[in-house]
Amino acid sequence: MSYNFSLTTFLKKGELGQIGNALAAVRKGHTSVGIRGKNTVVIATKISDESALVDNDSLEHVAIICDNIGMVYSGLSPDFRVLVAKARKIAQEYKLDMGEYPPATILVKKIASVCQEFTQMGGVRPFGVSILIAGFDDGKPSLYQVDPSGLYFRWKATAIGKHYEKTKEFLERRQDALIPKYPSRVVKTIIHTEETTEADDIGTIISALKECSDGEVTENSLSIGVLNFSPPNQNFNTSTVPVPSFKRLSKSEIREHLALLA
Amino acid sequence: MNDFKQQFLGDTLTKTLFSETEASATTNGLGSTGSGFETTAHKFALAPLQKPVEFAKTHIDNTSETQARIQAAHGTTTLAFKFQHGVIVCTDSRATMGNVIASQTVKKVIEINEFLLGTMAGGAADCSFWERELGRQCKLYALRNKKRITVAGASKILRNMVLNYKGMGLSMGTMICGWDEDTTDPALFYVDSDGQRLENHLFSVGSGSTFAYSVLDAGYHYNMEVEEAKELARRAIYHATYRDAFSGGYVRMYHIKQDGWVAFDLQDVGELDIHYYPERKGVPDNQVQEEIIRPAGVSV
Amino acid sequence: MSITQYNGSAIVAMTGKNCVVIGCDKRLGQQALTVDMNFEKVFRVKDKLYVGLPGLATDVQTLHDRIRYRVNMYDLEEERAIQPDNLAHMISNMLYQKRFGPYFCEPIIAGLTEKDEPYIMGMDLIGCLSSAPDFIVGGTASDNLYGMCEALWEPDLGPDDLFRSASQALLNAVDRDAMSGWGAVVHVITPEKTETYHLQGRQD
Repeated sequence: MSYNFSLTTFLKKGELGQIGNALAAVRKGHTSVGIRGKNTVVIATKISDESALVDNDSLEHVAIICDNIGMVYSGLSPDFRVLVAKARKIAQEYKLDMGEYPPATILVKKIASVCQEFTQMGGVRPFGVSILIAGFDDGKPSLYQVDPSGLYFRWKATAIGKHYEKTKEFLERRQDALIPKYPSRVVKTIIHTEETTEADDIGTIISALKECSDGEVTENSLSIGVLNFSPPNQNFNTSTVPVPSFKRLSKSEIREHLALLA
Repeated sequence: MNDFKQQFLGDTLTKTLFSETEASATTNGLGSTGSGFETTAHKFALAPLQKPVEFAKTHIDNTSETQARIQAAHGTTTLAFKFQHGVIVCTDSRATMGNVIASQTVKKVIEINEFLLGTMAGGAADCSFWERELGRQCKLYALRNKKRITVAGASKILRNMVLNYKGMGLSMGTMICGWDEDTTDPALFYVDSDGQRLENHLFSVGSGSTFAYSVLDAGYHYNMEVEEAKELARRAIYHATYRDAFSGGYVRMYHIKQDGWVAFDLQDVGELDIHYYPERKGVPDNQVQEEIIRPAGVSV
Repeated sequence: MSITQYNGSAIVAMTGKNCVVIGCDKRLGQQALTVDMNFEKVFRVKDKLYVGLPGLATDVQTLHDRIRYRVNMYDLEEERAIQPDNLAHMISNMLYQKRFGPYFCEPIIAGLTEKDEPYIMGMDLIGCLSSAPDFIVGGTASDNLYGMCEALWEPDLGPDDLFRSASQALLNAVDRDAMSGWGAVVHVITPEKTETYHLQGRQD
């Protein structure tokens, strides 16, 4: 009899049981969607409305990590808060060191390695969340997904959480309308968004959530984050060139988008 | 004598306060060495403080080893050696104040008279003042005695003069070189501000002296011809300027013969470098040399 | 004598029109004694990015090693060339990490940005960044270099003229500094290429 201090153990069939279980937690979480546009990334989630008594405003579903990076999740919200805190710290440390915020790929790699450590370290369990990260790489928008195992992908569009398969099929259909279908299996779920606008993407996301998730979609049950270029000398951009900025949509903004779809 | 020294050491207050009247007065401060030389006609103004010597030491830095407010010119390579045809006296010409090169054309050989040369290392002002004073003493000796003073005698006067100020911050390392009347041999003495006086065939003084010694010792022998001796001295100064940051500029050379000294043209160390090592051109042998340029207006 | 003056050095960086130059002397001494006449103090970081490290030679070597380590790691992690301003921040940070026992070195960065704009940056030995539109100097000959550069620098010089100004500034500055000199190296950085020139200097 030997002791095993690791909580994440291999099953006979070569899988890590705890990670499978973590992914199950993710699949139970509310649906989150992301789409990469020409100059934007939109990420959103449908907040579950288990009780009408919950004040959804108190919950942070779309998190701002730094000026140019945002994050949304499906799964356990307490676990997400830990990852948000770590991501913010990583971004600030990077800025302290290099004088600028990290490109999305750098933050994703670091977050993914945090997730991986939590599958191997003693005394911890994997995070019960998958996250979508919106950011810029080389001035171009990127959308990433990071899983509890530490696995990460870059998407043109994707969905995680409850009904994610259905939602991805929806996104796929939207893409079919726009461009010819790629032969490759990998890019099957990709939406071609090169020509779409920010408003188009927000519309697509809302439609996807409306169609694929449970319950009613209102400004109170949606949380949407948009990454784009802030024009020069406007808002908080004191620079003379456009700078990347990640913002959460206000309720009135969401209402406007909902009105457009109605 | 002791009174005068007492004043400088400044144990008594205000007695030596500087004033116009005192400055113009003469005091029997120097030269009472018992050897019958004339006393000197000058006096030094002191800082109006309890310990003027301490004041001078903390404010005037002759050696660059301390961080004084005023950094007197220092750093040198000088050399002199006797050989069968006389004495070769050779120096660099750099003066530095701190790390700044104050001058590249300093004259570090003092022509005491037409048979006597003194070299200059340490404090430039100390050397030139005391060797000028030595020249005066030597001239008085010659007038009184109807013959030139010997190099041994002259160097001893210098030593005795600076010894009066021992411990008061003088900085001087000099070689007194010459050829005595009615002798067949040249003479060479080393005198410094500590009061040390040495006689030898070969000396080198200054921050670059170790480098000069290494070249001199490798090539020196008494029976050199004049050209060989000059070349040895030149090489020694050149190599000292190469290795010593505080030496550089031009090579200045004198040859003391039985009938007096002659001076030679200055030689730029930068040109000597190209002369001795034309292949160097500032690039190591094993390095790919993209291009060597010598910008216009830079004399190299 | 300050420990930053122990080995002697002179470094100058100048901006021009779509180009920068950075150059250094080649002396390495132990106070008055000259030990090495081919000790370069400007290092290539990337094709269009150089860093000059004036100061104590042991720290120059250590810093160069650490900068190379960090830049190599950056290359591997980010799969892109580090930009001059990022490098400046990185080195500044590296120096401040040793705030209470600093490296005796005041780095100077010179390069072209992604858009091929000239970039120069200087900092003190604990990482305080200082930028200038025209030139940055450092080392034991820095006072002399300031004077030379003030006299010789003009706006919008092309690579040839800029090289000439920087070389003149460097050679004439070290000729009035006892602790630096013995030849010089100048790197001329343009969008197309970086050329390295070895200047012949006085050997005293």
